[in-house]
Amino acid sequence: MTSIGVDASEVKNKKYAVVIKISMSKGDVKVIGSDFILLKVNCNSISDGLDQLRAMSDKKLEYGHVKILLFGEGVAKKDIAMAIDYFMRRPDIQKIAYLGIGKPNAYQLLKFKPKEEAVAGSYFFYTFQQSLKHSPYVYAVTLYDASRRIMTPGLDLTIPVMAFQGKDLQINQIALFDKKQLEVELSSEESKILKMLTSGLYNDTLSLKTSNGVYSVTTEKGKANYKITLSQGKPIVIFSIKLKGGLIERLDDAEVITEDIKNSLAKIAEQQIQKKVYELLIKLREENLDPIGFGLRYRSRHFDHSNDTESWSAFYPELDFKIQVKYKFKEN
Amino acid sequence: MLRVRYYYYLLYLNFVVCIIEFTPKLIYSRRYTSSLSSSLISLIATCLLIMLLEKHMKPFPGQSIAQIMNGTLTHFFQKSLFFCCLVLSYGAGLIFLISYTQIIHRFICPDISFGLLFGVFLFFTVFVSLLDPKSTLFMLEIIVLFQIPVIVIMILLFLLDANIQVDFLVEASSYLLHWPSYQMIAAGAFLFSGYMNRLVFNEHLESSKPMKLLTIVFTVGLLLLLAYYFIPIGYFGLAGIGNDNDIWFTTTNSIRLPHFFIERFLVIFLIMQLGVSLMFVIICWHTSLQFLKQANLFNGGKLKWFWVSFLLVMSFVLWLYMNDSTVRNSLSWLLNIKLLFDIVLVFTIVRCARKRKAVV
Repeated sequence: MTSIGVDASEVKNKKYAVVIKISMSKGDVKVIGSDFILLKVNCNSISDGLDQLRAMSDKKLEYGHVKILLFGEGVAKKDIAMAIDYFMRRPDIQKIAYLGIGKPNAYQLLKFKPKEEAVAGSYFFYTFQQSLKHSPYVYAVTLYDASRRIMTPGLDLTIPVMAFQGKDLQINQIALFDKKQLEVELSSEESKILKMLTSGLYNDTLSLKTSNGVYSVTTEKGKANYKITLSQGKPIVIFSIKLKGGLIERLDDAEVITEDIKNSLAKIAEQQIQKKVYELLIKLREENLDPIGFGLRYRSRHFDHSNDTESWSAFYPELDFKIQVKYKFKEN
Repeated sequence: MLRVRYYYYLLYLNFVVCIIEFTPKLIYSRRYTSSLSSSLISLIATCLLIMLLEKHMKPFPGQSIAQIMNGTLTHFFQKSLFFCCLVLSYGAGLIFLISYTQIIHRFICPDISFGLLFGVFLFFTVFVSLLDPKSTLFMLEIIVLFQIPVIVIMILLFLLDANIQVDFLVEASSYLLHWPSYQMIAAGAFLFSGYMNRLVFNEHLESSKPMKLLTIVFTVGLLLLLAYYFIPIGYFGLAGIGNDNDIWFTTTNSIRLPHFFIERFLVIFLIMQLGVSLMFVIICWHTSLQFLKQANLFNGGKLKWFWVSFLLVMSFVLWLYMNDSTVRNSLSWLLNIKLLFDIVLVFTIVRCARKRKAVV
């Protein structure tokens, strides 16, 4: 078994629809073993569902190879914490399995069969494994990461959303959760910014308009740091973001790139990114979600823990942000 | 006489086994108050005890514990001390054997019945603990030398893991300023209590230079203590480690081994831990049998086999009556008594040494 999907059931009186993907790989390296079987069952609990599935297969179901756990949008909007807790406490499931939200549901996504994959389900696995540097939009969330984000006050859960774009899969959105359910799905543009703030950014393109013409700029690397300080009794988050620009593409009769143009490009990029970051942070604050972990950071810098969770929940709605962006071009 | 490095192996084995199987649950249960400060204090306290013991064991090179105590303590008092030692080390061994069987049953072979697994391990360990002390120490060396690289790799993986949130670690260490409690100090001291094995293996071990021993024990102990306290917190956060009994196995299940043909670190860790834990049980039971020998109750064929069969039957009967919670409760009892008892034993040795000096 390589993946498990959990959907909200369409049948009345049943809570979940559990889907499993069983690989038919023969263990020969030379032969691509991407054939698979999908089994689906409606049930009231996940353990009940997995038991029923046992009766639908002649094989012994081995959970040790499950690398992907997919949740349908329906389950995510109701309650995902219980399901994650169950998988976390099951000893035979790897805690490094990746999580994803399936749109419209997990079943449709698991049915997806790419032209070529090493083992059924490895498509998802490799996309997530490389997502840190490969994808500009999302960062992978593992099972143990999700569990700690649910347990820890002041750090909220995020899971990448997978959806179909025509016949192909696209993973370019991040869903934000409070401690229990899906609250907001960020747009792909916002997901990019969130990724930059949390895990850093690798190779992303901005299109910038100057008086000399329009340029498309590739940012090779970006990293964000922040600290929380108190100013006049109110906490303020100071972000410092450092970005390194690389190749510049000229668009629409733009002028040849000189040092001056580079400098003005950097300035415009700084302004643009600062604006976007500020908008995202305000949006998160308004939704009262904390995927970056301000609450945790605030708590960890204190020795007196008698009432810090309460004081933080009073602070957060009034939190102010200051963003310093430094954009620099690589010498070449 | 064997070199003093075997003494380090004994200390290391005790630490590595205890931290992983029971004490995490106990230590993390007070993570919001006293556990971090108590663990550090217990390290310092045990270092003092080790130094005291080593310094006063120096006048008795190659002597057994009975020979050391002769002339100072009456035979009755000696025998009752030996009896307490025997019960404590036997109990520790049994509790760890049961708990490790549970872990193997849960993670490796849930299809094999628990009783069969326990029986196989019990049979194996009881008969291996009948080997003579030197062979036991040689076996110990091999197992520890194989285990050390695994621990080093684990610490490196932890340090290089980008998924670790530093804020978790900082948050955990911000609870340092709390008063320590006896229960937590006893739990911490149990981790380092391998030094008591000196009493059993003194006949075969060279005596050490106390200062050198102390620096090594303190630095390695501190490093391991910090590693073992903070690695699970780095993976699960301070709030997330509360309700898991096998926190170390969940942690290693969350460690990814990059660039290796096995992806889960858990597999390697479990196999290594199997060897280490069984070795620990063997050492414990070997110790109890040695104390029997010291009390002159283990000589001759019939008496020996009586004790061995008694050990087997006793373990099996106790296992039948012990469920998860009794195992845990009995462990915390054992810890509380053991620290006090260890202190008493060390001071008995100090008294013996003083008396010997006065006589000479």
